[in-house]
Amino acid sequence: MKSKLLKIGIPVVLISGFIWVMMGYPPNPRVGYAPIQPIQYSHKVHAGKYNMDCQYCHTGVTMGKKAAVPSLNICFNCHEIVGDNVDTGDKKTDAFYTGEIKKLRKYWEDNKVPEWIRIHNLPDHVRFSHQPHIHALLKPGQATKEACKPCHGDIATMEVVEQVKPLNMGFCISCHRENKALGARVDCSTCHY
Amino acid sequence: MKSKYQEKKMWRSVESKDRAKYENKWDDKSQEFSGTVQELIDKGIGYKLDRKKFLGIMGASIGMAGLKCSREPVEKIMPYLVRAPEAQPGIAAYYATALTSSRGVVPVLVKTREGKPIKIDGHDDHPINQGAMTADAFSSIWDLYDPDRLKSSKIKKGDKHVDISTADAIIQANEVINGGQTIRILSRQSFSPADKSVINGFLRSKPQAKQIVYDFSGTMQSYVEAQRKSYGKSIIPQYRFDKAELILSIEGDFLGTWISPEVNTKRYSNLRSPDKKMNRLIVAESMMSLTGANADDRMPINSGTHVALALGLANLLLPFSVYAGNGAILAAVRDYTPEKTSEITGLNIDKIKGLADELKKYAGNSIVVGGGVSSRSEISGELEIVINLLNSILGNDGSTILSDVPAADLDSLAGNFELNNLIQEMNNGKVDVLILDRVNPVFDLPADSGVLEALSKVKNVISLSYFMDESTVKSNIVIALSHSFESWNDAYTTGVYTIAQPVLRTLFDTLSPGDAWLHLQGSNMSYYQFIKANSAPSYLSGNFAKLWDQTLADGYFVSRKTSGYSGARGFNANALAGVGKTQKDASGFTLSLYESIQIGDGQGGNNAFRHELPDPITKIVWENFVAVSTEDAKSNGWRMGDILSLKNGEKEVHIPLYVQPGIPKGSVAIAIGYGHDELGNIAKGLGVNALKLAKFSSTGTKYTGILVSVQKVKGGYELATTQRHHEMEGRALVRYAELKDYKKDKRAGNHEHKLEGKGLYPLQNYALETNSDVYKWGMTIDLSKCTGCSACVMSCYSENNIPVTGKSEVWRGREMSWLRIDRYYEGEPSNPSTHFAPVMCQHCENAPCENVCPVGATSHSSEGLNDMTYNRCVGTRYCSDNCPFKVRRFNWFENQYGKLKDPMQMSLNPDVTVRGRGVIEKCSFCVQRINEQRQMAKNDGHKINEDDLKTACQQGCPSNAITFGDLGDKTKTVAQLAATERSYRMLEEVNVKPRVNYLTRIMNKG
Repeated sequence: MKSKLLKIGIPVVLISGFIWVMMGYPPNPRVGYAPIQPIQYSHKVHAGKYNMDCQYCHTGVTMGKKAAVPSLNICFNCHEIVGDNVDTGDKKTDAFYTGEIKKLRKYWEDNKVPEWIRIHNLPDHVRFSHQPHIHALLKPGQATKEACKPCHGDIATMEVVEQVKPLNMGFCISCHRENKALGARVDCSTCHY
Repeated sequence: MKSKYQEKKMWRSVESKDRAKYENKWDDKSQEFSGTVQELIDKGIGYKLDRKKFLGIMGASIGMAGLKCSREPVEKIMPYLVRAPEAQPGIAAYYATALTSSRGVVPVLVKTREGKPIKIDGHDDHPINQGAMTADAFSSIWDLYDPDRLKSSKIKKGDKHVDISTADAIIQANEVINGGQTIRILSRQSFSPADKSVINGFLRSKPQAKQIVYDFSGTMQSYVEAQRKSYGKSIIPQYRFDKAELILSIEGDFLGTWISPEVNTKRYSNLRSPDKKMNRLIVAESMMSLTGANADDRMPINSGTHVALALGLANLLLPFSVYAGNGAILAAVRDYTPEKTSEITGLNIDKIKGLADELKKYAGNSIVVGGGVSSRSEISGELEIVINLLNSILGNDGSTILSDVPAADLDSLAGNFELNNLIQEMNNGKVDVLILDRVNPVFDLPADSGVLEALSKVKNVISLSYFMDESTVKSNIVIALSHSFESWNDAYTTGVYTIAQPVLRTLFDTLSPGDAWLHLQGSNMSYYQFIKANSAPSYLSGNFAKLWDQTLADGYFVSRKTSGYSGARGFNANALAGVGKTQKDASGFTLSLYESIQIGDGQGGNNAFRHELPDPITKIVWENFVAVSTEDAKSNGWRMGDILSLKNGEKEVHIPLYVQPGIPKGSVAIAIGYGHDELGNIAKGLGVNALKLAKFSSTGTKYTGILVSVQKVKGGYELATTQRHHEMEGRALVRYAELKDYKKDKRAGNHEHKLEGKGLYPLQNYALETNSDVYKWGMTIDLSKCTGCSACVMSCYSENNIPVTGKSEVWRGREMSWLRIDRYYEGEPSNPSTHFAPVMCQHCENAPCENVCPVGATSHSSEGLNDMTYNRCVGTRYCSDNCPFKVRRFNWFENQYGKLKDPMQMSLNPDVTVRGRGVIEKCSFCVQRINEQRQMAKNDGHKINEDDLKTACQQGCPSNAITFGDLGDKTKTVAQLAATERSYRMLEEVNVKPRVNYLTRIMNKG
């Protein structure tokens, strides 16, 4: 009796466990990742409403590997004077954003920086550089955000930034294959070294 | 028919040459390819595994693997608060600065990422060094991040040192100094004018203070003493090896450890192009040094008889020179007839006469050089004086040895006489305060100098130090110093003024040496201001503010330039008084001490990378040994792995034996710099301190010709060496030819292989054939130029985050170096020719490794690189098995992650993956540099310029032996070199088609 229970029970448990893992495992756990940041900075306001170019803050994007999160002195190019009276028409929202700007000023006064949570994070064995991608994608006369879209989505419409593309190897490779004419390579050492 | 060179057999160790005579243990083959697992267990893997245990462990591993799974970690991004315009994250910033030490000044470019120095490169634009570097200079990046560095100052309370802040330590030290009646400062020599003047300021404000400057290894001290005695001035002239057609080195390792070896190597290699001009190098020495290994002709002489050889040559050459009528010189050299010289040195009479004839032929166009640790005798500078005489006789002084703009002026350097006086003073209790300024006399001076006891008689010892070394532990107040890269400094050498700027803020609570000295004289000035106000203006003449900025950016300022001919100085015959009295004793062994390439005088002994670097000659790592001739080993029945006892009177050391070909019978040699009692966790107890056997006297320290009795104590010790693995089965991998044959036939020594059939695999189809835009990466290595100095190896370690594994792992053949330098001997073990060949991944076009990888972790790129994808690798090691060059290294353990002690992780290059356990790695041709340059060139719309892209090894090579670039572009240097008749590829016969081309070594034999 006991042995019969084990004989049937163990495979059942194992198989159902296997199915549960295969089915329940999200296709890409990263897509939709939108953590709450220490300061709830709105790209929708800055890049959308005020139509600021991405490169005003992300200064490294055409030069090197990292687009770079702006240093606080860039924020204070404007927020030295801007942001005491946020006016979106909705009192609740106004109060919220005024509060967030206060947070920013507190950091500045304390000589501290916010620890942003990284959203678009490639594994450590992948070497990605922004520079060649921007050079290939950014057409003359275009706003930078058009070149960012293929990987980051339309950030200018996002209140809270979330990852929209899987950014896994298949995603990279398929784009590289399509753009061989632009010089995109599919050698392993393009990204892994 | 086989040519004469193909018949020659090369061998790597006496054991492999003569297998029958030696035990299996050191027989190369049995070590490299072990038979069975049982054999490995018997040999001491140390774990007896039966079936049950094996299953148990496997089960546990599966369980653990499940536990390991976790969510992806949340990563944070920290922006700058205020970003400086040049500090762009992800982009490297280079700073021109200099490594300043007691051994000299090396101008360098420091690569920093996000404010942290990660790599040192040579400064290519520097007019003197031209980017030349040594292995030692490359490894100093890890000195900066050494976890054992002093992290705060200390003060002695009872028997213990307790941490105090450096500011407090300065206050304490000032109290002590102000209360001191007699103050003595023991310093090391410095090439910094600011350093000198800041201590002079201290001496002016404290009339009761006196400074004694000494040289750790004594190389420079004995050299300048000889200069002073011979020519009147304590200078180091410039040695223009790039102008000398004949170089004779007597017991002097000018390519390895002598004064500024990197500059010497650069200049020497300029004349090693067989199609242009070839110099000729003759070396007479008792130990096999790096210079000796590179010699066209090498003459082994008995240890301690080098002075006799120099005098014998002077005797033969004197009649033909302007000094012929000088009675005093004649009296000094007359006794050294060729017969007597031959008897003392053990050299053939004909050889001595032939040598003199050759020197005569190249008079005024040659250099005689010698000195260094292995030549120090009781009379300081004895050999150098006779060498000065030889150069004066030959008219080299003034034409190839330039004194108009000296390399350095070291007039304040003290000899043993002053040191002895200081020790006496200390012993008599006359010294109230002793300041040890970056020196470690307890380790540097032989034990019989009595410095250790003398130190305990001094009431207050203040030590300015980087480490808790042997002398610092005896001090009352310890002031922690900053690394060269954390401090301002300046330097003046060879007419070039250098500002050494800091490249990062101090990591710990430390002070730069200059700042410490300013604080010790109660000054509030910073050392930066001091340099700007007191030191730099005397060298930067003109618009100072502009010149300062320019010098800071460039890293150098040429203040005086040599005219290229300085005129002969008059040799003072009085210098020869007392020279040449030391004689070889017929009985027993004579010991020479020498400096090794890796450790030198032992200051940097706490750096694991230096220890992991195989000795260029013996390929032994992590310790020193006594080198014994093959004849002595045979006649006494000693073999590798024996521990010998060397006794000089009461003094005795026990040290493992190494049979070194090329050492004359009766001579033995040990490297100094090992056997630290303190300094740090790595240095402590590594090797044996051979200085115990040296003899200290007030006229000089005897490092050579020390009579010792040698006895075997026991056997069974294992030295770890990288030369018994990597067996290459006796194929002609290193090819050479003599210059006279090369002149007749450009393919002399080289040969081609006819491929039988198709080879192992079908040829790779390259995009190259259809598309000329595609790069075809390749490399050439000129074996004529390679000196085996191993700078490239250390440069590679630093660039590619290669881990250190330790002695026991190297012993198992598991060192991680991507680039090794194979060393082969050829000829009789009593005096073999030595050949070097740097071997890295050959990036075979038909790579055998790629076909066997079951997971596709290694593949071929369209540009001909053999890519290694770490994240795909599952560690089957099939590729490593199938690699004919054995260049693939396997991570048997987690070598980096979790192993690096803070702040070691800061030295890692963020552009190269840190490999984990169970992954194969190998040379990538610095693909991170290729990718970066390709992108930049593409943005600018052109192909990569040759000068913009250099691999780490190429950049590190002081002799320009390595060239890298696009083999497909016939205008590139690399393609032109690869197409010469000297070019060959290793193992062409198996049709792997390597992308690394070697150029046959051409030797200028007489």
